[in-house]
Amino acid sequence: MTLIQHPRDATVFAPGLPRAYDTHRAPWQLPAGKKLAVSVLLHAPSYQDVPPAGSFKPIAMQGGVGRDTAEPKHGQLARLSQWDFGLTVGIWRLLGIAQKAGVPVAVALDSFGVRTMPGLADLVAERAQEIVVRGSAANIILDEAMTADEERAYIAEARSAVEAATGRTASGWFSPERANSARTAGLLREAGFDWFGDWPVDERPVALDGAASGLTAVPFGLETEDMFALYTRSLAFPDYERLLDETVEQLIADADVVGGRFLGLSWFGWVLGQACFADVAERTLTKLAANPQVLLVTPGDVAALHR
Amino acid sequence: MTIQNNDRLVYEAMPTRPLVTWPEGRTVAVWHAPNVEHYDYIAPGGGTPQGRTRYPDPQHYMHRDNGNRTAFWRMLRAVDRFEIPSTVSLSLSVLEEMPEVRDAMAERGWEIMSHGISNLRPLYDMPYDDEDRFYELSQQLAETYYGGRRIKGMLGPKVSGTDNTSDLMVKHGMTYHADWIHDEQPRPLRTEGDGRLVSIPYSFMLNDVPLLLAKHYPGSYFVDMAKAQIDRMLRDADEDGQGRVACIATHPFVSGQPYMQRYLEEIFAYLRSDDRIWVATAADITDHYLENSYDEQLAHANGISAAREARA
Repeated sequence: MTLIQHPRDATVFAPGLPRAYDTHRAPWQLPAGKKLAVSVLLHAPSYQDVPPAGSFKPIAMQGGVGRDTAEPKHGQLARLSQWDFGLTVGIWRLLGIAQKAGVPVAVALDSFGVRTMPGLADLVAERAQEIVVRGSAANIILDEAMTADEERAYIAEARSAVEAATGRTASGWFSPERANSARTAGLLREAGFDWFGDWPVDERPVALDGAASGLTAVPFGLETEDMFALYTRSLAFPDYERLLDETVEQLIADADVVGGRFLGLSWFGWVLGQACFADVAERTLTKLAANPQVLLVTPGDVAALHR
Repeated sequence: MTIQNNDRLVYEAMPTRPLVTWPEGRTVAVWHAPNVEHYDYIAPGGGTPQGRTRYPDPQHYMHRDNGNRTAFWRMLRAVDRFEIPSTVSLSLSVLEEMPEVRDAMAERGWEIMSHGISNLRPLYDMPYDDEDRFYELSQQLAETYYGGRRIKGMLGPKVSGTDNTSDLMVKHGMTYHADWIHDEQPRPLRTEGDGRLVSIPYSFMLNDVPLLLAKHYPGSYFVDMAKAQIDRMLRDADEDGQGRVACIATHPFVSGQPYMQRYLEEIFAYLRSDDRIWVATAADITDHYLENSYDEQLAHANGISAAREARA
C-alpha cells in the first residue's frame, strides 16, 4: 500500500529504465584500469524544408536567425541552410579533427540526407568507425501520437536507407531532437538495435529491461552537447571548452568513488564544425587522446563492453 | 514546377570538390556586410521591429533610426580608417529617402546588396507578379539613385523569401543570394532555365544582431568569434588548398554604438593584418567564382550524382 495514488493518465517512470543509483550499485569496471570511457558521436542530420504531410515536427528547435526557436515561416532559409552547413563543411572538419587526434567516432545519418546528398553516405562510411541511424530528418521526429506500426515503419525506413547508402550495418540509433514515444526503446530493440543514445540519464551505460531488454542506453550528455551549450544555453565557446575540461577532470576523480564513468560527446557538424568553434573540438579531443585514464571507444563498443 | 528549397542546393562535400582559389594566392575572402536598414514607423500589416509592443514601437523605431543618424557615421570612420570595401545590405528606401546616407556609401564605392524596401516588409507569401515588380523596382531605384549600377544580389528583407525568389532574382540580373548560409564557399543554386545564381556565405555567427542583440554577448566576443572563425579558415585553407569565405555582418544600430567602435576597429585591424585575407565585396567574390569555379564545381557535383544514379 502506497500513500501516493498516481493519476491514471500518469506514467511516472520511463518504461524500460531500471532505477539504480550511484553508491547503491556495483561499480562499472573499465578495462586496463581506465577510469573514463569517452565516445564521440558526430551528428550529420539533414533538414527537410517541407516535411511530408502527417509528419511530426518539433515545437521548437535550434538554428536560424537570432535565438528564435519557433518554426520559421516558409521562405526563410536560415535554419535549413544552417543545418545543411553540417553536411557540406562541418562534419568533414570534425571528422578530420578526430582522425588527426586518433579518436574513433560514430557518425549519425538520417534517411533524407543519404537519399538527397550525393556522396554523403559514401564519404562518411569511409571515415567513420561506426554508423548510427538518426531517423528520417532533423525536423521529422517520433511522437507519442504515432501508432506502433507508424513508429515501426519510421524506424525501419531510416535504418534501411542509411544501411543501404553506407553499405554498413548499424547497431545504434539516435532520435532527432531525442524525441521518443513511450514505446520507442522497445521498438528499437524489436528492430534489432543494440544501443541508442537519446537518454542523457546516467554517467555509465544502462541496460534496459522490459520490452527494451537487450537494448543499452548509451547516455550522451545534454550539458556537454554543443548544440545545447552553445545555442540553447548560449555559452561563449571558451566557457564551453572549460565546461568540457572540468567535466572530464571531475568524472575521472569520481571514478575512484563510484566506479568507471562514461562521457558521451554529442557534437553536431553544423555547430562545433563551424570554423569559429572547431578549435574547441580539436583541443578537447587532443587532450582526451593524451590522457592515460581515458578509454576512447565508439558507442557500439561501449555498449558491448557494458553487456 | 517550382524548385523546392532543398533541391536548390547543389550538394558536394567539401573534401571532394575541385579547388576554389582566390586572386593573388589569397585563401580566405572576407566581406563586410553592414545592414543599413529602415524600419517603417507603422509597417504594412502591422509588423514591429522587436515584437515588443503593438505598433508603433517608438523605442525600437528610434533605436534603429539612430543607427542611420549617428551610428552609421561612426562606423564609416572605422571603415575609412581601415579602407574596408563594404557590401551594404540595404533597405532600398534609403536610396530615395536618405540621400546623405546614400551619397556617403556611393562616395566610398560601396556595393549595394538589396535587403528589400524596408526591413518590415518581408517577402513571405508574396504573389509571383508582385515579387516580380519588387525586383523591377529594386533595380530602378539603384539605376536612378546609385549611378546606374544594377544590384547583383540580395539578402531577403527580414531574411525572407518565397519559392520563386531565386528564379526571379536571376530574371532581374542578380547573381548571388545571401540567405543561404550552408557553406564556406559560394555554391551553385539550381534555378529554372540556364540562369546562374550562387549562394554567398552570409553569417549569423559573425553577426552583431544574433550575438549582441539576441544573445547578449559583449562586444569583445564579436572580436573573439571573428578571429576564431577566420584563423581556423586560414589554417584549413593552408592545409587543403580550398579558398574559403567569411562574412562580417554588422548593423549600425548595434555595431555603431559608441562602446562598439573599439571592437569594430579591432576586427578591421585583424582583417588587415594577414596577407592571406582577401577583403572584398560580395560581387567581387561572386564574379571571381562565376568566372573561375562555377562550371567546374557544377560539373563535378553532377558527376558524383550521375555515378550514384548509375550505381543504383
